[in-house]
Amino acid sequence: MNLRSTLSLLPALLLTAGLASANEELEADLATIRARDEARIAVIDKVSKAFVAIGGGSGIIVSPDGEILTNHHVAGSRPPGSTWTVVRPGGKFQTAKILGTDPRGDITLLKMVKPGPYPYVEFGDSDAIEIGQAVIALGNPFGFSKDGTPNVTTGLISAIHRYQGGYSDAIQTDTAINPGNSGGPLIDFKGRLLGINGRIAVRFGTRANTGIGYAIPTNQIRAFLPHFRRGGVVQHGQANGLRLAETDAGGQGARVRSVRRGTEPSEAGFRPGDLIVEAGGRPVHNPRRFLGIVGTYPAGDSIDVIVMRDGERVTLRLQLGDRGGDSDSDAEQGNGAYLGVRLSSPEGGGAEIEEVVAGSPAAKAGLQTGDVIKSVDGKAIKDVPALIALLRTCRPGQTLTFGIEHNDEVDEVKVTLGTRE
Amino acid sequence: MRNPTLLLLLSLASAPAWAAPAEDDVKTLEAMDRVQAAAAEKAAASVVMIKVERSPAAKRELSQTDRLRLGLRGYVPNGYYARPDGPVTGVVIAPGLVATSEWNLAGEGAVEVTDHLGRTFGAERVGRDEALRVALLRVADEGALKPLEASSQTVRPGRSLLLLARNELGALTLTRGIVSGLSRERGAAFTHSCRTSYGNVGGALLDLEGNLLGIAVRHDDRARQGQSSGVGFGARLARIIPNLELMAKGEVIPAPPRAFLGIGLDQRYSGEGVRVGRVIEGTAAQKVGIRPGDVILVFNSVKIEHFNQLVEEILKLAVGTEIIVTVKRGDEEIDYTVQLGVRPEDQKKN
Repeated sequence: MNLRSTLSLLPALLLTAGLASANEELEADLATIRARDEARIAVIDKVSKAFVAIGGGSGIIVSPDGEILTNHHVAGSRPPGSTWTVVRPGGKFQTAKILGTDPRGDITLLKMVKPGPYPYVEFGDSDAIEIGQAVIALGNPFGFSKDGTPNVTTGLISAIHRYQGGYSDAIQTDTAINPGNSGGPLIDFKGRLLGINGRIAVRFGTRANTGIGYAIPTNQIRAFLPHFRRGGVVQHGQANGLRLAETDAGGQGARVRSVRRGTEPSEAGFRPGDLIVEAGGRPVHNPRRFLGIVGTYPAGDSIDVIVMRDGERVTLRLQLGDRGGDSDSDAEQGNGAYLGVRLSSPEGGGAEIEEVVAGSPAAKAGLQTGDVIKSVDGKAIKDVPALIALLRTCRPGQTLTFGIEHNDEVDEVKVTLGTRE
Repeated sequence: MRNPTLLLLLSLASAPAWAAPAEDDVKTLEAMDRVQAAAAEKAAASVVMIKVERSPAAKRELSQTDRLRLGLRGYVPNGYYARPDGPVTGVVIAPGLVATSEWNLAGEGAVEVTDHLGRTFGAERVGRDEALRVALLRVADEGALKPLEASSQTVRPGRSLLLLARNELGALTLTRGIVSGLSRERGAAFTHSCRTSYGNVGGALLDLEGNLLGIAVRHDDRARQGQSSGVGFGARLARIIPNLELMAKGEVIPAPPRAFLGIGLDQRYSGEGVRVGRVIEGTAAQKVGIRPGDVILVFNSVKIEHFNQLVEEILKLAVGTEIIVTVKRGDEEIDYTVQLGVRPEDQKKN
């Protein structure tokens, strides 16, 4: 071969070499991604064994002796002590008994009647999660699974510490969660339980995932477990008699406005003007976060609260009181007019929406969890009983203008009341 | 001379509050980007845009019955559920043959296929598989379109998937997800988490190498595409292929009929088992002598606690299967041997 013919071959040789290296690079990329896939498949294989379908929702086994976590709105329609038939992967029907339930926090603990050992998922530390972290959800969306095998979706942690009424310290995820996923687990890539999925943000009656789902964090559930095991309905704690300033103190904490005498906060030594900067070992940046942290504990538990007073950090031991039956539904009264919300009275006055019934007049008007109704047709609303009394005088088809506050924004929403079915 | 300590302090002070991602993690993400792009490029020539002339029947408004079934209150746009106008996607799976979701071809109107080069071909509807919800189109020029290579991978929950389709301009669209669940729709489908829309249903479900694992199909109104729920259905290529020749000849592969016992539930009853409210004439239940008022305690060795559970147990079995049903009548428990029949609506179809 002479020099000329060798040179004429050179571009072709170079091109081949270029292709070969591109192929090698792609092969290396594929190997990397396949390894990641195999790791994910292995985790899913393992945790899926602990999945159960229950009622119209989902659940997860969390102990070798067969304790199951699910949502209260999935299993709580039956009283503690009663049973559910759950379906395990492979279509195995088994009986589980309700131990305890938390209606506000939306968690129910059941236990298999038949002794274990069962495959189970370990608790992770939900305070250690990070925004952007990859997560896995197991569930039975739309009831498509007929044999107890879960539907698996993956996504990210979108936000943490979301205050959503009863979901006071919610994990927000973009993982596809739909009706039927309720009560199913949110799991990290090491197969540890981070939360129980329970809510999705929807509007205008479209009950399908919008990219916003909420889970109840495991660290909150952990605080309730001993109470669940003792049985019955577990109440959430509240700092009764502690009134906080509505402004957020520039993100520095939660300012105490007043302390009612004879209440737990008064006994703990809280004083007007104290700036709450930490509760239960977690930083407090604003009043809502303080309420959020408090909401993760059962009534009767005590937590350390750190306040700034005269430039010094002071630790106060606060025993949490009972919330009392403060969560009211508008569905049980009136002369037939229906709004479709569950309400509670926030410290700052008004009626806070804890839950919006899908497809209800409230949902159609675009009212959301966390909205605080401050006025109706220009008339100030002091608390939940005041709003309920007002709604009782209304008729189906009547249109009301609600003055609402949400995250410091003020808005007006027109709502046409429906007929209670 | 610069003071190295000062430099270090300055760089620490200006460091971002977040921790820098590990180099390996960034490499993995970049690798995923390259793998996806390569897979899309490889499969692009086999993913086509389909235009269908829609008949009015295909665009029908939802009936009141549909609305009740779907649990809709108030006004919900019809487009969420009916097949709207607009081009759809199909996949060349054999010479001259394009597979797509059966739902995409709703109506009787003319069909044409446009490939990646913008060439348009007339196409005719040939056969379909009613269980898989896959329909087949034939393009006259067999050599014009390149079939997509079949994947050798198994469909397993957690496996990465890419859904490749074409939009209304004929350009590629790609969504990513994983296999979510197996054995759905009586074994005819798997679920996946690739976001689906009216445009990409019918598209190619690819493995990471750009080979075909299945076709994105529509099975159920509740897995919404108007606002993708993140729960989509797929028909496995391995299930499509065995009947491909028959479909290419224009045959309709019927869905296997569903099994049927023939009882209605007594909803007032809340005790042990399920109480029979009515027995349908001519069904398996009537043939063996099950009567209204009987309480079904056990079905095929499974203790029955609620009606849905009983229905699930029935649907797991093939038509003609013999099973034992234990019923309580008064104080007496009776075991009946029942041969399951065919669900009436499936009888008409087959």
